[in-house]
Amino acid sequence: MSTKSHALTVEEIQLRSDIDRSLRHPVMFFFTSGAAWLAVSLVLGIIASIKTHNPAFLGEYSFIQYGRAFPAHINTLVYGWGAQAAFGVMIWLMARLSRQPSKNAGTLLVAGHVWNLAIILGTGGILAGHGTGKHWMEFPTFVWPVLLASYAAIAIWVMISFRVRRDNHTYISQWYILGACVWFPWIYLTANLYVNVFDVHPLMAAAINGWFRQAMVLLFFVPVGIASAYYITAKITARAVYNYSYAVGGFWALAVIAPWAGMHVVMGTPIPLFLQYTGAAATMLASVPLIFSGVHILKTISGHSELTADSPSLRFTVAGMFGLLALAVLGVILAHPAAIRYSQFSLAGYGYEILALYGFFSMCMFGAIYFIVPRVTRREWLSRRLIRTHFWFSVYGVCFVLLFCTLLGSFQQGAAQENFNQPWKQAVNSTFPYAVGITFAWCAILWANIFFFIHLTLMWLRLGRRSTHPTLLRRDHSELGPHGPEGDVDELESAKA
Amino acid sequence: MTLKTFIIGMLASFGLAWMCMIAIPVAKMASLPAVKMSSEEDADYYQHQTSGRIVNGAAIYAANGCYTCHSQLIRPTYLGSQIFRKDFAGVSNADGDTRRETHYDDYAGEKYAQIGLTRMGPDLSNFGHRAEAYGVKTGMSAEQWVIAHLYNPRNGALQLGEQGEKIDMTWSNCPAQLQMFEKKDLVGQGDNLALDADTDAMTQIVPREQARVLTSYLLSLKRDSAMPESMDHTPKVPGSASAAAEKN
Repeated sequence: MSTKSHALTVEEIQLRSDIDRSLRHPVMFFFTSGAAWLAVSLVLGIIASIKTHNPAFLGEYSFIQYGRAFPAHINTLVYGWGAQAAFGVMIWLMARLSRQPSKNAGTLLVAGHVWNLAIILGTGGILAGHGTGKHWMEFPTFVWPVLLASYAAIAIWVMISFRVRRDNHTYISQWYILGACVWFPWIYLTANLYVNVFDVHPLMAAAINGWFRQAMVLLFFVPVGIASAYYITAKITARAVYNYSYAVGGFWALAVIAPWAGMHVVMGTPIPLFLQYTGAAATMLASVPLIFSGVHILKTISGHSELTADSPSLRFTVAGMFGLLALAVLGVILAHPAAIRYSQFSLAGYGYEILALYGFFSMCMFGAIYFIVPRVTRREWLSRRLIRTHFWFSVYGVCFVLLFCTLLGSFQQGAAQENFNQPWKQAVNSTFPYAVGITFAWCAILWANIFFFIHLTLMWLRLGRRSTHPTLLRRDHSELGPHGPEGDVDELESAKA
Repeated sequence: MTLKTFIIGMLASFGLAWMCMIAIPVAKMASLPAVKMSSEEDADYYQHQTSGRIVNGAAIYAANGCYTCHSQLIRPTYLGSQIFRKDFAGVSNADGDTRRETHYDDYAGEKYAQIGLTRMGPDLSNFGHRAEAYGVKTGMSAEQWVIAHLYNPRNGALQLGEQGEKIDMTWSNCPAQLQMFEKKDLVGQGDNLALDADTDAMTQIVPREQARVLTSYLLSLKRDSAMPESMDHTPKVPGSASAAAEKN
């Protein structure tokens, strides 16, 4: 992983470009359709958020009322954007690390189309008033088997490309990707069978839903984000991962702790107490592997601040790692039984989801996308200004949600709810400024992602720069750099041939 | 590491948690023993009683996202003080005090306990009682009151103060469920659940089936039945916090 790019043999370059070419269409399909869903989700999120402080916004139409727009927003964010970005990164990373070109681009593309179709139907179902009312599982119940089947068709090729890897060494990113591959179907199937199919106690169904959400964050989004971060940092800094056995220890710590987490969201319900408190304890304890991986990755980068400022991939990844550390700390604060009194029914849970899905996971995925897309399209990003706008507005938006709305706002709201001598109106009013704040933050993030989406679409159409020099954020490449003097990438190739 | 050892490691680490957190508790919660109301030998067994169109109503409640703002949970006092908030946990007046925590049978008949995501709106555990009281105050039946509230949650005429004055409700951010209503020609004496507002002599606005079912479900929310002695943790000592709350 640490080999410098200019010291490669011709065969090695040929192999990499074969891998990239074999996966060009599925990877670009997942990224662009994911980005489109991100845009849809952000628009729905803004509508939902405005409706919390101005319920008559855009008219009182049933399909965009808060109770439908909000679930549609979260589900498109999780399955439309999050899962698809993860699939793109998983299949590409696994192929590159196993050093085997993919022979199944067609299957992956078909599965990707089925996945998108299921999400279109599911989102339409929620907006039309057929949601199931189980957070993160609101798609009408016919959707989940379709999603699971198309997931299987995607993940099986990730596993197979690991099976046929060229050398026996297992990179740390492969551990995490394989983990996510195995955990996702298990979590998703468990949650859907117990909540939607089996006849379980209604309170246990709610508890399993809480466990499902936390497991999706800690055992799917976190491992994929960490896998991508390990890869990007090692690649761009041209350094080996700081200490391999530490990294493996971090993986197994996550594997052992995280499956217990999550049921603290139903704390106070009459279900066995050990479920509630084990859930809280494991959520807090899971901060150990998260902080461990975050610090470990930042340690690999330490001393490369110039590189971090220049490289879009590294800059987004570093921001994602700070998001990971914040996620760990926020998990400890919000899951603590003393805080649950205030945080359980406030906007804190939503703030945690925004931080997990955007502040950490999406930032890592953007880092990976800025790295992968030029390689699979053989075109460089068009504009550093677009990338910088994307970065800064994303960071501003997430920081605002985290500090202002989640930490300050939710405790203010929770305290007002607890103050039982005051009328309920006070609890609603205390939410108002933070609801407005979340709207502002989503607007900033939408602004950032409009540019990202346009940029990505242009790259998909192969309208990127035909240069051998990658797009850096602060300066141009020097002629002495690892990529040599600038030239046209296609002309260079034909000259070599 | 081979794929096989990896899978075994995953099975062990995840499988143990899965058994302890999901499979066993679900099986245990599926066969809860019956509980006697008191320790006396001939005491009755606790039996949850409810009425209304609970299954369909809960589905409409879920599909329209009521749970995103309304909770249905009265937590124990060590986790929150909503039990003391007026009319949240039961009815407390001169005739007695029925306030209590949520019990595991309170969601009987529903597929999924709608604990709720936030409390942007008030808790609905005992909404049935509140709706009846509001109805009496405004001279409507409880059903009429809920339907009028679904049509326009910001209607000040639905909340009357001590002297019968209208209370400003424009601060409410609850969405109106206009899709549950339709305009119909007035026939005969009209629909007894038709709304007062927004109509002329020839037409009236009547609730669709959805609104009627949802109303039936909402009116069934009365989770303050007497608990078996062994499970009733509600503090009722005079001079305690609950007594202080009653003054308000």
